[in-house]
Amino acid sequence: MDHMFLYRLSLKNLTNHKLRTYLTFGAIAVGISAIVFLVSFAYGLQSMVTETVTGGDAFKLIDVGTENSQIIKLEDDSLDKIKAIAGVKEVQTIINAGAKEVSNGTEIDGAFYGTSNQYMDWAGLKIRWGDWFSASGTREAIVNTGFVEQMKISPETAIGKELKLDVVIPKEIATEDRFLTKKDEDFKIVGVIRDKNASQVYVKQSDLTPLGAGKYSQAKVQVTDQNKVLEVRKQIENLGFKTQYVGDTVAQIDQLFRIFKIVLASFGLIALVVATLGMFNTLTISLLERTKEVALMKILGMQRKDIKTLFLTESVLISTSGGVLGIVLGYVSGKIANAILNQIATSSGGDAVKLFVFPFWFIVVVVLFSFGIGFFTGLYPARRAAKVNALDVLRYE
Amino acid sequence: MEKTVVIKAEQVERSFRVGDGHIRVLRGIDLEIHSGDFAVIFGPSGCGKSTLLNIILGIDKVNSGAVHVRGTNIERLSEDERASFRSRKMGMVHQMPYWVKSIDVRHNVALPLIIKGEPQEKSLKKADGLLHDLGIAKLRTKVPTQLSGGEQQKAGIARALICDPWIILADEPTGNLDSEAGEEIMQLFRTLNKNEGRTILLVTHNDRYWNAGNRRIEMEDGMVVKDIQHKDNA
Repeated sequence: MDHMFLYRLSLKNLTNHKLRTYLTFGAIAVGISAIVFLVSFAYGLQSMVTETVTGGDAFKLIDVGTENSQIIKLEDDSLDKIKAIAGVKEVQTIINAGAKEVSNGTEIDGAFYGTSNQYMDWAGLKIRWGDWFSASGTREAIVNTGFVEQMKISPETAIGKELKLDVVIPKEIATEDRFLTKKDEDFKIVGVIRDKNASQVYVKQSDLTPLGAGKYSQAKVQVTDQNKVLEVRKQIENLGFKTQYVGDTVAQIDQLFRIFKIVLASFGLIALVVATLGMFNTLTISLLERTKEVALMKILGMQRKDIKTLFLTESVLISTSGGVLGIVLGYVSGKIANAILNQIATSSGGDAVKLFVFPFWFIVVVVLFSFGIGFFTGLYPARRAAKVNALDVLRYE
Repeated sequence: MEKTVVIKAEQVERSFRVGDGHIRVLRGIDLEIHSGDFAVIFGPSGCGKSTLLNIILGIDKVNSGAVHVRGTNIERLSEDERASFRSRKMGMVHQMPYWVKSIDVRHNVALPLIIKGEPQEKSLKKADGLLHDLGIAKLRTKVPTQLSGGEQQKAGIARALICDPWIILADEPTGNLDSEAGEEIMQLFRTLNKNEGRTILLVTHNDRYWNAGNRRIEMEDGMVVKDIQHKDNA
């Protein structure tokens, strides 16, 4: 039998009961749109978090530290050993000290770091106001907005401000085996990072080492190729250091978001299950109403498989078209929610974010899922239709 | 000229279980319908007329005996094979025509041909021709249930004719019509039989039409009690 005719007949049967069809179709669309909206939100959140963690060249970077070991120290000698490992491209370090800003009448306690532009870039820090350290300048400082707020000035006006810092060098990193304090060290702010956490001041390492810091707190090791990360990590750990790799964190993030997506999708699934039950009910009622029609088609010679196809087509048509509409609704509502959130974020001084992400494969899976819902929901009414006994219908109708 | 045997029923028995017992609806029916026959099966309600028709159509089964349609023992066909055989070789007219309500009259009339696998356009063209011949061409785009009883019955006859069947089986085709419309339908059957040589097996309990064809087969209690050939109608 001509399948095109079966398809048209299914469509006619559906349009013949417009209200019922639209309600069923609408319920499926709402269920699917809930899933698309919630899961795309989880995807957006995941990509945002991952991007924050892995900014820049992160997958080629290994963090090296000593975990406050009294025996293993991160010094120039050990750095040379790390640099000598095959596959290591570059090593950048950071020294963690403390400082107190005293020039403006109020005292600001903060973390004090000696590092480089490259290290900061690898760490995903971004200059929002001003600039990085200049190549030849000395006594330059980059501060975070948390520090600027404590100074009670705006980030724009902070650029060029002179700082007078009392620098505290902890014993662990000091050249001498004791804790050091250097008073009234002058620095000038050249850049501000957006970060409202506790006060932080970054200076060039070359400005901190003369103050008595001879050991490094942490290092970032860049490998030539991402595939060499495992081998390089192993060799660094053999030297006694602890390592961390962003890939570990990303795997944890992925694992966490996998659960998050399942939880969110489950909320959407509740709506979809209700819609599916509604569709099942509609299809069953439709079959009961059309028992005479089915009997007639059998008497006129229609094969059981064609009757089954007719009912399955109706069910798949509703679910798939409902699914496609659901995707559109989910997509549009995601975009609207994103636009509203961005409006709020930017108006309060934040960055615009992409909180709803719709991976193409996810959309394809949702379409196939909608098709599957229609197919499996329609299976029982279709089988029942194919089994209609024409004789019973003729006898009792 | 020797006539072909279109339907041959041999010792057909059919009984139904009712409660703890069985009711024998057909008791050893022997019957032959020949090509060109217009046979009217007449009998009171419950005498087994419709059951016999359903068995010939292959939608009911015998308990014993056999029914051959032009040599094919339909009992030996599967459900789908019987459906296919029915759509190609037999046209059915019911007391209350059943319709696929979502499609118009011409699509309903063309439906058996489409089910048979003929192209839709060709089937619709043939349906249009039949509707024209039966005088209801103007109703072709209407929904069948919008038609009057007589018009629906004519459309039902058009549907029965669309596959050029070996035989038309009609079950109480005038049962739901007033006498005028009923007479018109009976006249249509006569014309189809006389002018086109169509073989017709018609079931009725209305004594008004018992002599409408060239044969009157009277049934009582599941048995054929009389089989009369009308010379003047032959």
